[in-house]
Amino acid sequence: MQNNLKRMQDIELKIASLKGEQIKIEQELTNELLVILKKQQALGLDFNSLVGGLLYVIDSIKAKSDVVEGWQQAGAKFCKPHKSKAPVPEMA
Amino acid sequence: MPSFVSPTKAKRLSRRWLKATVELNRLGSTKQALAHQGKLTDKSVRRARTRTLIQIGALVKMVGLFSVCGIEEGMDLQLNIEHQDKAAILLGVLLQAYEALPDKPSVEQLDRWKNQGIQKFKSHQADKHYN
Repeated sequence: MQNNLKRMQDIELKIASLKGEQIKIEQELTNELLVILKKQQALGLDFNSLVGGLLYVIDSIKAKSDVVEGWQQAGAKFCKPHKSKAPVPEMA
Repeated sequence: MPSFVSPTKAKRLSRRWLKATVELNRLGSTKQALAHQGKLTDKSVRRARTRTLIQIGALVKMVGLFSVCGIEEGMDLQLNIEHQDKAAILLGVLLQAYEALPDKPSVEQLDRWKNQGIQKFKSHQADKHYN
């Protein structure tokens, strides 16, 4: 019985620590998404349309719809780091 | 357009989040199983205690103290006021017997009581068999 109590306490500690870790990850992921929304000036768009569209996207990804492949490519292109143009050296 | 989003970082974060979710589910199940086990243990301890108390009650009856105190099976000795008196009488008898006990019974004394008890068990069994 004492052993079970100790195990229970250990599990509760692990659960608390994992939940804390999850919250941190969620914040970081939210920040990443926010960057995209800001960059695309999407924060000023009709909120309901945005949510509706997002729901459609989530459902399509979950259903492994064919359109997802195109979205994946577009996303990868958007996230791809762009080479900054180096200043052209002046000719002597 | 410069990229502000790191896809590898986002992927890594997603994977970590999923892993944490799976682990949380697993821990939740283990916690539930342990809680269930704990409840079962409590239940079995309570049952064992009740069984012992019932067995002691049967011994008191075997000695004949029920009839001395006017107690009959089925009486509620806690809630019924009349029957509470009968319970008090029984307790008084037991208290007197307890006070009459030596502070530290010798091994011989314990053996004598044990033999007396065994004799009573045997006669009780015989009575049950022939009646």
